[in-house]
Amino acid sequence: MRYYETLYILNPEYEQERIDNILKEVEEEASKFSKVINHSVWNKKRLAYPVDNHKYGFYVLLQFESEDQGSLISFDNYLKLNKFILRYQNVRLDAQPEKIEVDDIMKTSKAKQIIENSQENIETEKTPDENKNKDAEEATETVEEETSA
Amino acid sequence: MAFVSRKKYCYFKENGITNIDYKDVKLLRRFVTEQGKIMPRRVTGTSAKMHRKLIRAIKRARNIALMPYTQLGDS
Repeated sequence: MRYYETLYILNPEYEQERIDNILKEVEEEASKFSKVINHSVWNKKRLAYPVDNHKYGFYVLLQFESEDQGSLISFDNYLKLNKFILRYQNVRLDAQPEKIEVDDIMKTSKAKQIIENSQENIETEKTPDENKNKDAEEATETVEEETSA
Repeated sequence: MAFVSRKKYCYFKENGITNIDYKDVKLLRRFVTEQGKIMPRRVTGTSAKMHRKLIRAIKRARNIALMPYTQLGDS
């Protein structure tokens, strides 16, 4: 049994209803050949660079387990041809992913942490001068910490 | 002038990290320059094994627009 992970970006202008429909569709497609473990929306996030002229995107994480490697190619094609998906990436996982509870996806510490991290990055991106100094400080701090440890 | 040499350590070995997740952008940010370039091993002190994993994670993050391929510096 192998574990896979797909991270894909949806158009940020879609309303909630439409996103739910797309998620349902993707999940159906994935469950044809695999067992879905996690399927969760991260949130609307600023992209590191514009994708199809979009500055923001809805990140969705899908984790599943499968033995049928041939079907992965067709799933890949499905994602490629899906016009709602701006970009996607399939990755094979080394270990079984932890199951995130569906009810409180946004409350789970890991998802929250990732979003917070990304937001912090966005804030620092806006001020490159400060960012530079911060990075330098961080680097020296860590070095000092490590030497004292 | 005394020449101070500072011992470099592999960040991942020190912290017992064996797998690098491409979604952990905050961690990956430490290992790229302001322009978004991957920093060389001689600068960061990362072990060869973990540097290979790090490179893979950074490239994956770039592909899915979590990290920039390039970024303008001071301008």
